[in-house]
Parts: sequence; C-alpha cells; structure tokens
Amino acid sequence: MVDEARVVEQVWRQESSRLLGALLRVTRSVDRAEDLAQEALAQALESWPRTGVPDNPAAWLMSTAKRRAIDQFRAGERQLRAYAQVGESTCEAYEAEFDQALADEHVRDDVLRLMFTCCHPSLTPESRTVLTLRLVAGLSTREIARAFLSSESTVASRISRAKRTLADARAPMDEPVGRERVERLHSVMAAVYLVFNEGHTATEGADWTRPDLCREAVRLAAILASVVPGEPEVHGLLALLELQSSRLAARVDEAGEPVLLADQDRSRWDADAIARGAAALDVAVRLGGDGPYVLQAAIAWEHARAASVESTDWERVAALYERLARATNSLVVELNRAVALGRARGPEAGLAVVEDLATAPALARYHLLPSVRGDLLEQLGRLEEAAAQFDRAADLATNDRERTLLRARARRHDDGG
Amino acid sequence: MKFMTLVHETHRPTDEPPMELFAAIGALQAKSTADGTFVQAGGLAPMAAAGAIVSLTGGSIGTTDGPFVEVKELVGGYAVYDVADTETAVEKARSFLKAHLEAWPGWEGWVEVRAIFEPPA
Repeated sequence: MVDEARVVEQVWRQESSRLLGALLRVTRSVDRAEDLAQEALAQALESWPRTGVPDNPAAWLMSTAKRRAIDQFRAGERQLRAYAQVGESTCEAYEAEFDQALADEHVRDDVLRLMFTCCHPSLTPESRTVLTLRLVAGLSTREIARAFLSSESTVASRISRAKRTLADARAPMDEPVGRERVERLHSVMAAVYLVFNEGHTATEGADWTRPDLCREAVRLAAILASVVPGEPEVHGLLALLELQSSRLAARVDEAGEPVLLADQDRSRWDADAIARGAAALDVAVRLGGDGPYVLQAAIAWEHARAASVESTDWERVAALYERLARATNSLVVELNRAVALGRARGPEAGLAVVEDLATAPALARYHLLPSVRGDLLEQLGRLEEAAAQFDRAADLATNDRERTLLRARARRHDDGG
Repeated sequence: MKFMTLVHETHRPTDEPPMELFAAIGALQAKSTADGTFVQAGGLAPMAAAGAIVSLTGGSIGTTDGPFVEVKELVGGYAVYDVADTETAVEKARSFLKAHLEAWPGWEGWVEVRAIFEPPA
C-alpha cells in the first residue's frame, strides 16, 4: 500500500504545522503536542490503507489527536499534572479547548505561534532552523540529518535539547506584541533564510547545492507569508527565495560542478519560479516594502529579467546594493556591491571598494573576498596577482566543489595563458 | 491539471486598489505556493494603455486598438494553478473574489476559469 503511505506523507507535510499549532495552543507543551501529532500520524498510517483517505484529512488527524489526549487525560490525570498548564483544567474544559482548536479561524494564529515558538530567543540559530524544519515543515529527523549532512542521532539530540531549553525557559506560548513581535518575526525570517542558504551553497561536503532544502525554505516562507500577509518583508523573503531557486538547475553542470552566472544557460532558469517571485515582489513593493529582504529580492529580479550578464542593469543592481548596505551595515553586501560596480563602471571601480574591505578583520577568512579580488584583477590583466588571490580563496573555501573551481581559476594563467 | 484564471473587471471604485487588497492577494498566493498549487501570476495593463484585439470576421483581419475597446470590461490579471479538478480551480477564483469583496468595497468583476490543455502523458 505504497500509495496510501505517500498520501499520508503528503497530508502530513501540508497539515502538520496547522495540527501542531493547534495542539500546542491546547496543551501548551511542544513535547506533548508533538507526541499527540505523531500518534495521530501513526494511526493514519495504520488506518488509511484500510479505510481510504478521509475527505478532510486534517480534521481526521485533529480529532484522532483529541481522542488520544482525552483518553490519556482520563487514564492518568495525576500523571498529566506534570504538564502544569494541562493539570489546572478539568477534562471537560480540556475537551472543549480541542473542539475550539478544530475551528478554522485559529489556523493563522496557531501556525504563527508555532513558528514563533520554534524561533524563541533562548535557542541558538542552528536549533531554530532544525526545530522549524521539524515542527513547521514536518520533516523527519532522518530528512533533516540528510539535509545538514549530520547523523540522525545528532539531529535528534539537538531537537530534544531545544525542546528542553524551551521548557526550561518556560517560553510563553502567547503571541508576542509590539517590538518583541517584530523581533521574533525577524528571527523566524532569519531561520527560513538560513535553511535556504544551506541549500543554495552548502557549507560543507561534496554537493554545491541541495535543492530539496531550498524547496522546503520556499514552502516555509510561503507559510509565513500566508499567516502574516500584511508584512512586506515576508513577501520580500518569499520573492527572494523563489527568484534565487529559479536558477538552481542551471547552477550546476551534469558532473555537479558549479556554473557561474555568466556561463549559465538562462533557458534552464525556472520560469514559473521567476513568475511566482515577481508576483510576491509586486505584493511586497505595493505594501510599501523597502527592507533588506525586499531589496535582495529586487536585485534577484534584475538578474532574473535580464537576457544576459551584459544586458543586466548593473547600475541599478549597484544602487540596490548601496541601499542594502545602508540597511544592513553588512560588509558582505559591500563586497557584492563591488562586483556590481565592477560590471557597471569597470574593474577599477570595483577593485577600489574591495581594497577598502580587504583590511576589515571580519572578512579576513571569507573566501569570496580574495575570489572577487582575483576576478577583478583578472579583468585588469594583472594575472599573477589574480592567481595568488584565487589560491588564497581556495585555501579558505570549505566546500569541495568550490575549492576545485577556485584552484582551476588560479591555474588558468600559469602557462602565461 | 493546470487552470488559468483571468480576472475581468467591470467596476473599479477607486483608481488604485487599497493596500489591504495586496496583502490579501499575497496571502492567497503564498498559501497556494505552500501547498504547491500555484504556478504563476501576473498583472495585465489595462487594454486602453497598451493592448489590442485582433479579430477575423467576414474574411478580413482587423485590429481594434485600446481606446475603441469596450472599456467597461478589462482583464486585470491572471494566475495559473495546478490543481486536481475544476472545482478546486473554481474555489481559488472564489477566494480571489472574496478578497476583493472584503478589501476593496464596490469593486465588481468576474473570473474566467479555463483548463489548459496538456499533452497526454
């Protein structure tokens, strides 16, 4: 019954955030909510192959979870008092809360609360991404381990540690307001962005990109945008991730080697992803967005709409980077501006910015600084200096594919070529 | 099955749509992205600004350009969805109109839902 298993998995992917969000509201414990959800899932895997998939799978899972919770409540009220919040209520009140949780109107708040909980300030950024993938995206421990090239047991212990931290911090499950809400929203966006970055350029290992992880990040950004529709930065993030993932297929060749922007076959860019990205960017801009994610999406859009590297509006890209640098104070952004300036006004203009950055301690071990420097020097015909920079970049690179590419660029001019 | 939904506008209460409408449309797009049914969407400029109808009648091909087109009805935008059946596509169109009903009072129009032919698998 392979098909039913696949349906269960699909339903789980789509509905787990909503289910967990609702269970979290009622039980006020991440552990408890996850146990109930997993039990409902196990029940579905057992029943659906026999009974067929119900018309409303989400409601089926929710009422199954409710039945389990009520059974357990009756079986061991004392045991449940360990979960302080639950212990205070009566069984009837508990049951009523579940019924209310089944009502549709809470979906938005529940999912958002779940996302906020996964990105609680007491957790490290790494734990936030792992917990978000597990609880919001509904990925299994194995899938997360595969995505981060880590062992299942490492991921499992990170998840349980994160949950313990949340319990110890007595993380309030209520939706934060005002300034704290804005900060938490940014930490949710940062977690999604981190997931995407890991897929876009893997920090370690043999593969340069991990498309699955990028797709999950796009889905997470979309879930967030659907629950916080009035915030332009969230639509900007979604637009950015759609536009960047449109190039995934063109960024590696058949042997898995990276293909840089100038050499990419633009007909292989995903036109649907570009169209979705453009639609999300349009929403962000019309909502008055001009924050870091919206600006990054606007830059990605300039690349997506250009027919070639040469016909790209590099002046506009450089100007967008300048606004982005002001908004973020990031030196990495400045480095990107140097590349755009090099394209718009010639390699000298770019090099001037890079030379300024070369003394910054923060970038001392960042392999893309010598890489960009080498590229600009190469364009100026200063080939020996360029090769030295590419070698330096290769020394600092942590991704195997990238290191090979940089070594090859360094060697290109060895024979006076 | 892919469906194209075309938005026809028959009455526009204000020149520009309110911001709330974009938030509502953004939420619908994002929801469809999250469940994998959203293929693409775009806005279309009013016929009068840049558009034409090219027709074949009575053996001659004629072009009617913007200003002469029936301006009371224009296509405002389109979206393409990949969904199981017509009912689901119609549901998407209803949600889109509901967003207008709530966020842009006075707006009137209709959505044309058309299946896109696909080569047999």
